[in-house]
Amino acid sequence: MKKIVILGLIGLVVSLFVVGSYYALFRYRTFPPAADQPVETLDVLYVARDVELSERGAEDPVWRHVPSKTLALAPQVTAIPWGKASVPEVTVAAFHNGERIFFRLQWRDATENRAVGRDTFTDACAVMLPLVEEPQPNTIMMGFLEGANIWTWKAVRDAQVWGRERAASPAPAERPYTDYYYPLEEREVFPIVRESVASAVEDLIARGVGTLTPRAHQRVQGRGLWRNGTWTVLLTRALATHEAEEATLPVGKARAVAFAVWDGAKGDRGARKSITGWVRLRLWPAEVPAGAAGR
Amino acid sequence: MREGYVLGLIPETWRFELTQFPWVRRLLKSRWIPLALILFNVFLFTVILMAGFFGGLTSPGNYNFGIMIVWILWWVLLMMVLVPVLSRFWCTMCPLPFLGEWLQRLRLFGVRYVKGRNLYFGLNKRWPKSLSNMWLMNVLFLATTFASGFFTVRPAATFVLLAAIIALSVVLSLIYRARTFCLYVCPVSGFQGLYSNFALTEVRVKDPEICAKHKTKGCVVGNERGYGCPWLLLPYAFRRNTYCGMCFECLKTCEYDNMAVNLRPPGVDLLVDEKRGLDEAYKALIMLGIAVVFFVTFQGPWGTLKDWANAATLSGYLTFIGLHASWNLIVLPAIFLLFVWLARRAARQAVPLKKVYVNFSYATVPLGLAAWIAFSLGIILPNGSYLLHVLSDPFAWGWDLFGTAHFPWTPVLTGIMPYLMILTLLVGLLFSIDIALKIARQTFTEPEAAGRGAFPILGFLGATTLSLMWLFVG
Amino acid sequence: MKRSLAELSPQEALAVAIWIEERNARIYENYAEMFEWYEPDTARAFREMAGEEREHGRRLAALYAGRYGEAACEVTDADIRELVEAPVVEDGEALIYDRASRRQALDVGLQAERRARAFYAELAERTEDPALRALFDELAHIESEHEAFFVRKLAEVDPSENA
Repeated sequence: MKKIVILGLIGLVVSLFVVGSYYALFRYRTFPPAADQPVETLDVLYVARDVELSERGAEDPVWRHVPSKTLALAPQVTAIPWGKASVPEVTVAAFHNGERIFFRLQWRDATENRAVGRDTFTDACAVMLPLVEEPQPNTIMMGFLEGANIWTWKAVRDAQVWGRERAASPAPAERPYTDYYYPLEEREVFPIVRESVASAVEDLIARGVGTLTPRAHQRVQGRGLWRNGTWTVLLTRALATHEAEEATLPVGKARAVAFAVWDGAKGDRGARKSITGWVRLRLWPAEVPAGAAGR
Repeated sequence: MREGYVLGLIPETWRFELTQFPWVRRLLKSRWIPLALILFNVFLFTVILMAGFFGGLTSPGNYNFGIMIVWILWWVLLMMVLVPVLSRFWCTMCPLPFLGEWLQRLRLFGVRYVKGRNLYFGLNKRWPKSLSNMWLMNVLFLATTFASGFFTVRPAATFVLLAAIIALSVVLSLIYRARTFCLYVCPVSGFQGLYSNFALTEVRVKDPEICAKHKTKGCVVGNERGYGCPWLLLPYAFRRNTYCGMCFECLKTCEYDNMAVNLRPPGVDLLVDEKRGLDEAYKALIMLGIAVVFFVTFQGPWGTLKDWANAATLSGYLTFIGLHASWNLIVLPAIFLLFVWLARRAARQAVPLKKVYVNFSYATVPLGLAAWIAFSLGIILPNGSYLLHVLSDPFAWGWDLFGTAHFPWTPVLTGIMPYLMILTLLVGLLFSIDIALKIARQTFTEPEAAGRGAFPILGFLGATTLSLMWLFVG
Repeated sequence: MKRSLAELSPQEALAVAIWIEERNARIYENYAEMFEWYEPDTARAFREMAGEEREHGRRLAALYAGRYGEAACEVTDADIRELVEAPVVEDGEALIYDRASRRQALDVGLQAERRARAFYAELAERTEDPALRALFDELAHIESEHEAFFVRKLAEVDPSENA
């Protein structure tokens, strides 16, 4: 009798486990994460004009009239090398003219670093636009598992594209560089082919950590100017998209965006950077409802 | 370093009896301890299981109560506080074998004591002799880590793991005697046991002579106040923390109040030169190896490895399992064997290679524990703030129980995290060196031979520390 | 206040020796109970040893009766400082590793008897009181007989059995 009871109990436990596991695994509920909605909103107004990628463009009066946001930056801490929060904040403004969108990123940086080499790293910044409408809750841990389009401006590329004459510390343009070393080699021995650089901004896609890949067609342009301890970087791209891996920028809607900044003098490179959380990017149509957009 | 002193500073025999305080003794002798702690964790793990069950396969890990509490809070607490400080205190309050033990005793609170002995429900069989060691736990823990890529991102995987452990513990409790599941099967038990030898706390007999004269050893056979040691120890005689589940039954059953809970210097049990075995040696090396694999895979810059571990493709996943298993079962033990062989050769003493291998493996325990603590820092400091979110909204149903549901992701102290990791590893290395030197003297009887024999092992420990530093801080 | 065995009178020392055998019998019975569920063969060995200790106790009791008749003695093993002949299974993890064999059980008894023999012999050397010395010599001799019993028992155990 006792044995029958014990066998019955064992059968019950095993059955509960099998049924429970089946339901958990195959009849799962995917609840939408009660994700933290972006705290900050950056309004992108319609302004019927262009700005040129130059010093004049960086100081164009339009930037005084469109809304800007100063966003707190946090260290990147999910992939080696860790960030160090070397840049505390970045100020971002943007507008569109119905055909192109323009971003202006500004942050304090005591030194202008346009060179790369061993233990020498470039200053840089990036705009990340997820390829899904509702990305996972944060920008790093799960943020781009479903893919993101990332525009990365690097001071070293900027110097190559826009000429050395404007750079205080010219880059050794022909020196290949990588963050990765084969563990048994003192330095990288695999051949690295340097592509011809057409833009200071790399138009990339990523689908998880360590998957940054240049897009086949580079459509983002940009330029950075360093003056009096401040970087001002302009980035622009056509609103219209041509490929699935290109982030959409739908006018009249809001979408997520995140920003990152590297301070080369403090050792930022690769994953070592300062990042924002998601920011709601609201692209206003030509007719802005009176008083709708914040400043 | 002075013989008989930990790090040349604290006598190995130093003890501070916590149970000398009457309220501590009263507390531990009460049958409410550990029951109250277990019941709290039964509630907590019920919520965890529900979150895993409802979370399915695709909910984000950082917003799932089950994943965050188990893999961020529990794991970190286990490695950083519970094991190094409080020994197997997690086993004291672990809710997973609760159902099985309840069925065995058919009592939640009281003691089933009839005709001079504890009564148990179930078949009360003996665990097979061939499995009475850590090998099964070694294999099961390693096998569990094959699925580590799922546990932190797929709530259902955590559910299945915990449910499997509970189901297995119930089944084994009905067939086998006492805490057979905890002793020989639980994947978490083995490393807790081994690493608890480093812990600052112990349950031990106070005066062995009292026990020698004692005719009825209630601590082993039980009495009306409590159960005979559920962990099958002879509480009056055991000398290592490895298998003491800190259930405090022996404090309840001892008629002479001759059991004590002591504070002690770290690592002293690693020097107990008895019961050492290849199963425990492998456990030490596997733990060290898994710490490396986890870091490389989940916190390193190699996204491909993470994809493999997450089973993005079947071939990638099989590659991960193959590499992971080979590294832990063959490569790392073989590297250690090389250093041990060098140690034996340097010592020029005819000690069996197996003995040298097994003995010195215990010296890797402090470093292994330090590696896990450093790894845990990389989990808790960046991700700890998610805990506030899941506490308020455990099922992601939009609740805000404590007003913290929208607390933003806030990494803490990550700026100094690399330094904390390095410091942790260096402290671990220091203790490992101390233990290695003493084990050398145990293994090679001549002092000069011991000095020579220790060198290669110190080399292994140093190289391991440098490799871990390189991995951890880039 | 506990006293040393050497401070007792011969009558008291003999009474204590009887108590020790009785105590040991109880301890062996307890061990038998501990190992009963676990290894019946080992438990049986402990039971046999308990019986043997009882037999030792009876022999000493007969000796006591022959010398002191019915005269009661208040001193027991609890009143002396030394720990004499206490059999202890010292392997605290014996049950975990499934290493408690019949051979080990008998070895526990053998070690206890050896310790007792050595203890009484040493006492006999140190004691100046001739009567007490004679008693300790006698007890040491009895313990050496017990020791021989366990040696014989151990020799009967299959040598392939684990130690």
